[in-house]
Amino acid sequence: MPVNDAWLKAFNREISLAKKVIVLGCGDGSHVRALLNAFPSLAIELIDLSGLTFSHPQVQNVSADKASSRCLVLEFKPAWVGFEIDYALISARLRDRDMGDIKSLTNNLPIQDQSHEAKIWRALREIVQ
Amino acid sequence: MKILVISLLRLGDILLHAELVRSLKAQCPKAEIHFLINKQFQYVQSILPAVRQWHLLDRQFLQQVLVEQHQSPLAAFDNLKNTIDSLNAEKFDLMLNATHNLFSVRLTDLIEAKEKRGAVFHNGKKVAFNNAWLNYFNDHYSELNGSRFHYVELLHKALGIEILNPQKAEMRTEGPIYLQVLTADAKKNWGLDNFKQVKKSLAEKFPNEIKVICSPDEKDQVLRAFSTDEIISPSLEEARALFRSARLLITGDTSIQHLAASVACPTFSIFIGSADVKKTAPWVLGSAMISAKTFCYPCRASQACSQKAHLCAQEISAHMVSQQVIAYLQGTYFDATKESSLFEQAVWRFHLDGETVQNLLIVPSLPIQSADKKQSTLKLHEDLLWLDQKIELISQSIFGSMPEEVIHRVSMEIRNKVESLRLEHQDVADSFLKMSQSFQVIDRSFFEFLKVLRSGWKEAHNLNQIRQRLIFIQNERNQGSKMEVSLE
Repeated sequence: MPVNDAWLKAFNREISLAKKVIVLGCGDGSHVRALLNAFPSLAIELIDLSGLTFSHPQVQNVSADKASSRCLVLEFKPAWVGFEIDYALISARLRDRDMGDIKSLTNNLPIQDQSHEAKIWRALREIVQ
Repeated sequence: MKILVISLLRLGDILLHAELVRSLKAQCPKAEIHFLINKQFQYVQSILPAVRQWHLLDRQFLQQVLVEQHQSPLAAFDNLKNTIDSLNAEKFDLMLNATHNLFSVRLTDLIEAKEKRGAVFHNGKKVAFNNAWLNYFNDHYSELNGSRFHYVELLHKALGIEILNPQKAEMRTEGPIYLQVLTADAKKNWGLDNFKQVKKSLAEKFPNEIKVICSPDEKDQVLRAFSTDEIISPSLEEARALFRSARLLITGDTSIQHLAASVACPTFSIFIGSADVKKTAPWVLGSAMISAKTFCYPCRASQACSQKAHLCAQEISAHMVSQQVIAYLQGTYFDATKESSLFEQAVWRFHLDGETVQNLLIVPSLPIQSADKKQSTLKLHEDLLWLDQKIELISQSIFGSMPEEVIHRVSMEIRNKVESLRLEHQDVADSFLKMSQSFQVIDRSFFEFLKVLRSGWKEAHNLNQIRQRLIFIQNERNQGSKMEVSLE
């Protein structure tokens, strides 16, 4: 099953009850297109940390701090590459949940990510090991 | 030259790391030395003026943020990032990781320096140790009874820093006697009543003033055994000033012990619980110590006492300590246990310094070897040959067509043999540690297992050859001196 279809199927029930959703991650936008096709009257707030935007009347490109509260939050993880932990934190905050412990946050880090930021997260993990 | 020492352990360790400063300054007097320490120990700055700058890592804040999940971990991220950024602005020539835990190793991957020594990561991967002493530190130090060497010596050699001889304790007849009656770990506490009895015995024998030292937090506890006018709670700086003119400090294994040693104050230390006298005795020549001999000593710092009673503390009576302290103060004290470990230390030093058996021409003065020692070394040689044959059989099994059952059977034989050798040759048990560790990898890959087994065997074999050579040289010297006597 294509990624977008599987992704939609997972959230289908919740989306059908919502008037507006927040989508984390733009990627190539195909999942946003699929969402709009399946739910033509849905309003979407799109947050993308790499600066990508999606141009559509029903889609509002917003920054994380400007996102609406009390909205269904949909995570599109294939678009999170390089910002895994940042998206995880935003998602948790928008859902008003625990930020997740440092171990689960750093579990999202790919081994090949040796950026300065990733190294800092890994060092912090050792403090609570 | 700008040098950073990562010293993120406890106060006692920071005081021991100060020896690195002494050594570095001796090698390079103009070196600018920086320390990275945990913020909670920032008060140590006043007693180590040779350190040019102190960088503080707020570990307590980081832990609090990361453990209390209602706080955003971003606060911890920003805090650590700022600390790293300020360190990198210094542009260090040399970074020494004196901490040797995973957190410090991760920091070495973040802090920039032209040269990095100790346990170091580069882009998330361990940088291979090309220093035999660092390998020894990594393999042996955390093991119970693992290290033959004092922490200070091991650290210097692992970091490639030339070590200075420790200072000699300044024996005095004048000056107060201090008792440090508590430690940070209950297992290392000998008991307030024991100290009280020792104080009484000493007061009968010596005219010196005797005072009890404790921190303000410990005062309530100490007051159960001592009166207010017997107790003082000096700051670190005040304590150091007191020790400069003290006659003696009697203490458990504490940071205060190392503070006293740093100003050549004579110390008598009591090692029980997790305090390993080989590793953390006061770094000063002429100090005295007593350690437990119970089967459970030393124990792990991270674990509770395994016994129903505090056996190691009970084994050392107040009378025993009083007698030894009196002997120490009268100049008649002798530590018999030290002598037996000198031989093994000499053997390991030759091995870790890369000496081959053929190069053993200059030999330090060694204790006389008994016939038993020589016999024991010869038997060890035979046992090692047996092991080599079995390891050879395993390698043939792996590369040949012999079935896995053979590999397993021979592996179990080797495992049992290694364990019996560790028990039988207690004085060389650590040389079998690598072989023992190989059995932990056996499920992953037989090739890895064989590699570690071989490496362990080679180390044990080399050590034994050095041992045999040293015994031979010592015997020749003894024969030589006997002949000189007969000619006279």
